Amino acid sequence: MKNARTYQFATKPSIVSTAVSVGPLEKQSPFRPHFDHVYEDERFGEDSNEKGHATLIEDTCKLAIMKGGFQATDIDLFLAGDLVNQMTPTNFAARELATPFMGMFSACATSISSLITASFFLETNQMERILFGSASQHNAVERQFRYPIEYGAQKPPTGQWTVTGAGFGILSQYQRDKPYVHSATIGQVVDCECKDPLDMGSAMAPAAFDTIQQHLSQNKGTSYDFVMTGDLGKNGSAILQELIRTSGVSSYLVDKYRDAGAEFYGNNEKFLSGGSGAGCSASVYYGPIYAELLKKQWKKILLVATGALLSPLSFQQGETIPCIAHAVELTME
Amino acid sequence: MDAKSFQQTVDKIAPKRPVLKNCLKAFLTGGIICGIGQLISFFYMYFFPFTERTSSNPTVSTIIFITMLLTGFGVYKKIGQFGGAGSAVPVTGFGNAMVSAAIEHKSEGFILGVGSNIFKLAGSVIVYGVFSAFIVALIKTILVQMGVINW
Amino acid sequence: MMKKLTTISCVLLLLSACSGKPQIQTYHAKDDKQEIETFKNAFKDSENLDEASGVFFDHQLVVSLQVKPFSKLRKEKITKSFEKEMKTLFPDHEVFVSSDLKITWELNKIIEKKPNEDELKKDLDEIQSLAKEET
Repeated sequence: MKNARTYQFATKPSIVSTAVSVGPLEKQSPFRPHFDHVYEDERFGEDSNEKGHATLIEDTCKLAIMKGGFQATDIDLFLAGDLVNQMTPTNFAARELATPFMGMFSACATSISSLITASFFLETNQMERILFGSASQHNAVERQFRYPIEYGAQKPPTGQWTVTGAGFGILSQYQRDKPYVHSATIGQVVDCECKDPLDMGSAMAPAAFDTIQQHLSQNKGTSYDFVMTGDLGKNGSAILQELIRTSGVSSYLVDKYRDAGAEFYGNNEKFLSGGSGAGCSASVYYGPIYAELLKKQWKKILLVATGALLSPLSFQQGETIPCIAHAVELTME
Repeated sequence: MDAKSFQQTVDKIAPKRPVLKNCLKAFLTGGIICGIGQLISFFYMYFFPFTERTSSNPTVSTIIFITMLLTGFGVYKKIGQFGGAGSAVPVTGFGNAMVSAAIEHKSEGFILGVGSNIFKLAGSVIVYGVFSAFIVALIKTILVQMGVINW
Repeated sequence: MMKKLTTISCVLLLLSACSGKPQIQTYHAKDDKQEIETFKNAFKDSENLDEASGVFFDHQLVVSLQVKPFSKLRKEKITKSFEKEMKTLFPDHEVFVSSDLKITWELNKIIEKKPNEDELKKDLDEIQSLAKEET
């Protein structure tokens, strides 16, 4: 049986530039120094949350293009997605960018699934520059999945706060002083029969564990500076660490494990279990983590973004929450 | 890994809602809201010709108006996160459900947005409230006709 | 020390709610001492009332009661039973009993004001129409 989930990229596609923008609440994040732009208006100057979401994506993409010294016409493909119905914010941003576009949906794992797809496309040597990433806007996503913003429902301690943020990068042919995609593992849907949409961390942890296990089994002997999941939150991280500990698989990872969602807002209790959303993993991976890689602070890291593949309708129909996790191994020589 | 053993891991690790603390906070919040309501009632009875029975009308209107302001200013959700059921059960919770839905859907206009969606959260309360009132009235009518009870 | 204080204050609070005779106020247009005495005796020993007020005028008797908090569940029953009692004690009077707080306030205002006959008639009619309001 052929292992069809972990792949190595011989051409070593490199992330040549990135840009991260966030909303006003994300000012509180310990990652703030590495965010390119912090907006004061959560609607980014537009009159609705969804329109603001589109503007956020458009502005961040343009910034990534400019930081790389390119023009929009240099971009061969735009691969991105978000959490709103039919991904209209990304669609509308793509209209403004006027680049070839393929929308991607992997819930909160889109930040990495778009990077994996971009890496494969570049391996074909038929494209030169691909713009990838994802974003989320708190109000638009809450409206899509949960209750009106001003509704006074009490959130449990396992709840998470959707980050208003966008993280985009440009993937190109190998460049010596940039981090490159060494290998990746494509996720498979894992359903542990969790039903609580206010506790996504628990639902996504098994998917992250499955993908990490798969990647490590295909990369025996590789040592990582750390493994970072996208948005398991404080609760989900604890569960993942327990799964790793009890399984005996590379338990050294338990010490070298980080989670973007758990760290995003620091220890502020107002944000309950931590940050979540497509923009959470994207803004951390392509902001502070990318900056640290450029400075050669890390040599080899494993980024595992997780996504909960539910809809408000599936939840109302009594369905469980199936989840997925995609992993990318970034190397900086 | 099977679902059952995973659920056990989750139950062991995931933080539980602090039920007793939440009950006390809800008790405090609900009590204070009702206390304020009683004060408003006394206000109407003292300064206007309302009796104890008829003062409930302006009292409820005033409380809903205050809830509307608090929701609009983003204060009510903080009360809700603290008090839980204590803020949701009194009429303030109903008012908040309607006003928050109205605010949310203003971007789709007044007819398709606000008009259709204002009862998004409160609709169930109204439907089942009316329905159960109908059932109870039916039962009472039957019992009165049978002579078991009087009106 | 703190625990003792709280237990003592709890006990005292409970006791204050449990016992305590009702405070009775009356006003008689013609100052008939006997009718006032009969009225007072009817309420004197009641365990359920905080206060009772009555105004006598021209074969009309308007009574207002305030029921103790713990007995509020049976407020209607208590009011009805006192109404019956008043009707038997004063068979030639038109009796009206209410347990509404506003009525109590208004009636107590009248008792303090001690108005003359014309004003008294007007005030009593106002009270009764107020009590009849439905919404």
